[in-house]
Amino acid sequence: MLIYLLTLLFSLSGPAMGECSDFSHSPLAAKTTPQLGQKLEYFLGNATGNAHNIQRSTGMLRQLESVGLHDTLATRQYLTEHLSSVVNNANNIVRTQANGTVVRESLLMGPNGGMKFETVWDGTKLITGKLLGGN
Amino acid sequence: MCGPLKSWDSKTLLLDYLRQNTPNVIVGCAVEAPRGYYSCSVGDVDLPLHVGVIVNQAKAPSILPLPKVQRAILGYDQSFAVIDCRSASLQQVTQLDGVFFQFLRAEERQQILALHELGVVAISEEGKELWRYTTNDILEDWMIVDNNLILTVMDSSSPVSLMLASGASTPDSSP
Repeated sequence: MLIYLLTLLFSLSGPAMGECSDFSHSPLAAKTTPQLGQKLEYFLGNATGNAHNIQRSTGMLRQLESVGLHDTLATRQYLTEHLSSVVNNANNIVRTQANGTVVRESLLMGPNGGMKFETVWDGTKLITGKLLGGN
Repeated sequence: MCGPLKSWDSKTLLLDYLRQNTPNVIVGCAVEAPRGYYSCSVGDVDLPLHVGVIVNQAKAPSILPLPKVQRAILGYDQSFAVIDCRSASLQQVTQLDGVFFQFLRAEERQQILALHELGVVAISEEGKELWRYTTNDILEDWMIVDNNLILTVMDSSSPVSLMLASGASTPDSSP
């Protein structure tokens, strides 16, 4: 009886943070929190480092602004929520790369339009993203 | 020889220019959500090859002439293309794991390094892929020291050191 109760307890406890699981198919699915690191800054034009990163970062901000997403607290909250829904969706993986990272596709909508958002993930860690569309 | 990179406001203007300037080759015709149109000339001064490029990223493409083999390597979006100047043809397009940054020549090894957002691909002077290394985060800095390529990545404290000969990480380097 004790073994049965322990087994039941562990089966309901869900994964520890950072662990991969297939809970997205379960009615008990727990939402995974994405590890964004400095990536919001990168998407919102605030990258530091080499000239290519800075150019790419400001380019992505221009694209976001073209659909009405400016660097505001509201946009940061919206992007965080969007990325959280992306990593918790098991149906948006378009390919797995040779090093095991997965590429996910989503549609990012702003007040003035939308664009495709291709993100690269190592488990729950966001590696980078690429916006397709906008000006 | 490589002429300056010219930007065009539309695909129509780029194609008109190429129609009037032969021989020519166009790269990126099937690109998704195009947002940039460029051209440049490479090869023979008297009869240059006009190269047109259509891109979907904000970054301008970069072209590296290889006069010894009469070829040119073009880095754009998430790819590099090898162009044969003699036959005015696109030889191959290779996908990168991240958005292209720049070419770096490792002269002693006669290698070209195509640096991109998530790592590096080493290419021979004929345009053949020799090895590739993909980082676990965005590439922030790089340098060649002796026969090693040192890479610094975002959200990581320790750099990665790769042997230029093979792309293998050196024993004292973090994975």
